[in-house]
Amino acid sequence: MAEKISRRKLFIAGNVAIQGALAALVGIPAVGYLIGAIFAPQPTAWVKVGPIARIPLNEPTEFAINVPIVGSGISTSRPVGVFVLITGNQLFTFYNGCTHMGCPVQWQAYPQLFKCPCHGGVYDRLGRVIAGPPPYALRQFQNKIVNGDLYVYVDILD
Amino acid sequence: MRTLRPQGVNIISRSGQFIYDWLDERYPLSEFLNRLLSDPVPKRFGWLYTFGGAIVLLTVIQITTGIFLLFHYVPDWDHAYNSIQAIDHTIFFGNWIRGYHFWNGYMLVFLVGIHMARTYFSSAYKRPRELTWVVGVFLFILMTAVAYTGACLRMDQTGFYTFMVGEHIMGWTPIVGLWFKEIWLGSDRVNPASLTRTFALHVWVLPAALLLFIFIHVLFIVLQGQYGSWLNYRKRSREHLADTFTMEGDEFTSYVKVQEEVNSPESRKREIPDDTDYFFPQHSFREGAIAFVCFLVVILLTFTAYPTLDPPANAATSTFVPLPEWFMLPADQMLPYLPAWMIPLLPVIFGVFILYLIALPFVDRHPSMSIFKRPIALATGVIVAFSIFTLLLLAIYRIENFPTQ
Repeated sequence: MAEKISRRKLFIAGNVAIQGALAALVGIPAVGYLIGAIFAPQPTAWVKVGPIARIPLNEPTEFAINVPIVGSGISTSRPVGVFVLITGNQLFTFYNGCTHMGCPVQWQAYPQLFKCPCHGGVYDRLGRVIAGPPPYALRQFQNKIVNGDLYVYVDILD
Repeated sequence: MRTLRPQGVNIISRSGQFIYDWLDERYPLSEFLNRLLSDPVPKRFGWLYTFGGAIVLLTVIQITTGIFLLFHYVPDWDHAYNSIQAIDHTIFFGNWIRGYHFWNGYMLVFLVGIHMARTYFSSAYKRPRELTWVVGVFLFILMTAVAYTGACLRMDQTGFYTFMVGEHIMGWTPIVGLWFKEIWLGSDRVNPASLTRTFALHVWVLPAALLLFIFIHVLFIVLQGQYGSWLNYRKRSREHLADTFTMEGDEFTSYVKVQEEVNSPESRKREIPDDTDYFFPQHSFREGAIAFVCFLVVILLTFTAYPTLDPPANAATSTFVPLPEWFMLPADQMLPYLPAWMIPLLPVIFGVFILYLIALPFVDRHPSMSIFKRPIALATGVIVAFSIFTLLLLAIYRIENFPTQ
């Protein structure tokens, strides 16, 4: 060794090494502990909306469904609004969250429009953006009819 | 035995004197108190310098009431709302404690705004106090974040949509947004873990950071002494101008004082405004009085206006109109004006505003402390304040006029 390391410098290096090791030993699992949760998927499920025969025609009608959610070891459910529109031979099931900031859009029968109460988003009866800041159309759930009951497949939320 | 006696501190009783001397013999109590309590504070316009102290006192009340709420609040998805209903209706004095916590939090946000405006317009952020201002900006962010997360914990309609809109704005942030959103919520959507995470932020992470930064903020003030802006100096006659004839009046006086202070930190005690009080008991009395008046307003609000508790969180609503917290209204009002492709601009506007605040003392290096001698700073401050108030009024107008069925 060309240069002699002084005793003082050695101790300073030791201090840094020990404190750094402690910080890493606590910090790495702590960061993983926080980030890990986002890789746990939320459950997806076919959720029953109700008997299709009771749904009015040609007018979007809101139904409340309970969507399963999981977090921190708790399995519970969350109420979510679904607008069902039966028009001609087509069936639409819209998620009621505005695509802008997630506020609950309201169906207003007189102008035949979905309006978002938060920031003025306006959609037509097929969920297409007409005015305001929403970036894209109302999102739709997949749907199916089993034994006369309407089911929606909830994989997207918020 | 030390002979030093803090000038502001007078101990009346003999036993008190005995205890004081006993401690003073063992610890540098007199020096500590001298530094802490007997700091000279400008007397002229002293009442304008009381908001910081009031914020500290109300923060103590806020933390105390928050700790008491923890004895009954349940941070659980299915039970949080019920526990708050119990606090409001069945638990003895529960409505007092929650009312205090609710209105005192709003009062704190309001006072932080006033305190920032005062600091800006009295130029207290200038050299050598840049870091006090920068720490203050962090405190502003933390205070807003604490108030925001507090609303989420109620798990009522407003709380749920506070989650929802916050999550969306975070998600729209360029590059880091989705990561931040998912780390906050613990998933890609609001779920039971989101509540416990927000709870952890609200009761520990943010308040702990807040207290640490308040300590640093106050430490800086104690180490550097009170500022004494142009307001605190009386006009002086021309013979004081010495050889600097280009400046006059307040500007010159302030300039000389700043220069001397910067050049010789030891002159702190000598270069003080013309008339001074001690921090204790004169100025601390003013701060206590302001805090008391603010808390009287809090008490009045607690007994006249019921703290918000909407129906339980239910996204399957067809009538509920989500409203942001009032201090978020100016930011919220920008959203209708930003078309779809400009939504990611909102977090960017927040970021630029914060960066502007942090950079302010390093950009504004003009030595004059009078706001009327600094047209750019005055214009910027007035424009920012005017924009915030205009957005607030527009937001109120928009909310009042939303057509409900």
